[in-house]
Amino acid sequence: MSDAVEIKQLTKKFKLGWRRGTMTAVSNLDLTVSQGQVFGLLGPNGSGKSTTIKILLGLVSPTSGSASIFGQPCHKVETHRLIGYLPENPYFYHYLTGYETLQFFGKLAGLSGKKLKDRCQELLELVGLADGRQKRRLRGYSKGMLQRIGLAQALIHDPEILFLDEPTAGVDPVGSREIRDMILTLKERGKTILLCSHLLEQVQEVCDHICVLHSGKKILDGKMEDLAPVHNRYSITFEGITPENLKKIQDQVALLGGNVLETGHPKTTLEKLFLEAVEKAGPSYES
Amino acid sequence: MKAEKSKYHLLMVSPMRIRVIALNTMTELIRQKVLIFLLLFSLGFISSAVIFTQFTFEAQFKFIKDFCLGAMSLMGMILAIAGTASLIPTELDNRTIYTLLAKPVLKLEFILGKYLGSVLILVMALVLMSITFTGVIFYKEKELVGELRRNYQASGSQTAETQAFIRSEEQRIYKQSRDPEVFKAILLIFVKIILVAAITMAISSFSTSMIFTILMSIVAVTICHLQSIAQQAWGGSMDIVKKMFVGLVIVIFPDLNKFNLADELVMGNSLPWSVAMTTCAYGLVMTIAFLIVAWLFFEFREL
Repeated sequence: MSDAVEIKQLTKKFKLGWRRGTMTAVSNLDLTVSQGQVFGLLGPNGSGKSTTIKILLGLVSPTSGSASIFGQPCHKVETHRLIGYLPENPYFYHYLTGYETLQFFGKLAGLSGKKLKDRCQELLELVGLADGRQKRRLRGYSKGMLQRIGLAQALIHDPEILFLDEPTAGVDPVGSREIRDMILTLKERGKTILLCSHLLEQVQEVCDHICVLHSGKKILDGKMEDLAPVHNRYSITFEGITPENLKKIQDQVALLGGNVLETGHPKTTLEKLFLEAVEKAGPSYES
Repeated sequence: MKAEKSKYHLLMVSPMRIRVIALNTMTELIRQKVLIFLLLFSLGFISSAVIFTQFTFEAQFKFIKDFCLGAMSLMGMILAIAGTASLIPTELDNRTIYTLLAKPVLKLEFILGKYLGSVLILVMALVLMSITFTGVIFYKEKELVGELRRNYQASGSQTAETQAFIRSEEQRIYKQSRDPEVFKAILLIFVKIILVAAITMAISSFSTSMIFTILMSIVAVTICHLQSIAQQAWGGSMDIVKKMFVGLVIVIFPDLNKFNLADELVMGNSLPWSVAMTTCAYGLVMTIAFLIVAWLFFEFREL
């Protein structure tokens, strides 16, 4: 079975203009995304993430090397049937309503009639826009709503792989958590997801594998479970222990040759506090 | 990789996807309202032809045809350039093209869809302008026939000769007002404006901004209207460099004067259908040629 994404020795150089030479956006990149993986493609701005995605979408042709999706060359239009793409900033037609947007992209993906209508309704419910807001033009949508409709259009033709470029950018914490949950649901359904995000905490929560690019080159690549833990350190969270007993444990650790580096009360996250407060206040959207 | 890119299967072109993009483009142009404003202005401009009454009735009809067909041609070209020039640059500026081409859509389908969306708007505009033009002609016909009858009724003459004279005068008016040659002129205007839209599409396929596309299109259309000068120069004696330049202008730019039938109509000349059809075929071939140029530029453009 072929990998979901296979990039071999990929290089992309952009011409800067007459007598100004070239700029290397991606340099000899090798990358493999396995089927069913949530893969985090990370890197600072200008590191080559967007160019790599554009090459995978067939929008830009590589200078050398190759890229394939499920074994098919990525520049072939048929390969696009396997791909769902959510761009970084919501690039949609502002004169269309949410429902018309899904209809438009659904028709382009080859859907029609009742199948398309049902799929639009299903996705509007999935992204939480089936409450009347789908009848509004996108011009009046908030950034979070645009991301939701963007995710729905990316899923319209039930693609095998999703390219999500900053899917939670501009989305409030509640929406952000919903999108994160959606990514995990899609993963459970066997979809492969290529995720670009600067929200590293979120990447850590959902990704199985990450790759970090810098100046077009791969500087880190590996499974989250191998990369994230500090292997020579351990953390234990206790409950119902007195300070005297805690002191005894610390002494015991020292006796066994270990060092206690940090003690204290674990803090709740700001996200958790926010979500609890919002949940308590009830729903905020009106159709 | 570059060699692989040339594997392009024309059989994969989907009329359904072209239709979807064309209808979306039409919606875009209608909802943006700029073209609607231009169209309303065109209709008002054509309607203003009824104001001019200080000529003989034959001269009035000639004037109305000349004025209205000229206005339809000019406003049609303005609508073709304004409507088409914004299509690709707007997609690139708003980056909607990335989302669109991430779906299974060929760049050729994108170009054809966008172009046909623009053509649909031009068809709509030309139909509305033609209806207004017909309305102006019929209003003028009714006014002149009524005036003729009132004048003779006022003179009190009811003889058979008078009646026959009135009928012959009415026939002269009808001959001018119900001139089938007008349809040929409108057909040629249509072919001309869809050709102008194709030229604009070809320019916008490599241009980086809408303003540049509009300016370049105006320059190109002006050169196309000056083709007769280039053709005359071609026959004269000149050095090889100039000759090559003039030859290039003649080959690249279509002769848009071929589509102007208003002058012939004003002169009372008739254009055989065979000539009209040949001119239409010339326009359509040039349109296809410019669309191929647009596609080739766009196909190899880095987005």
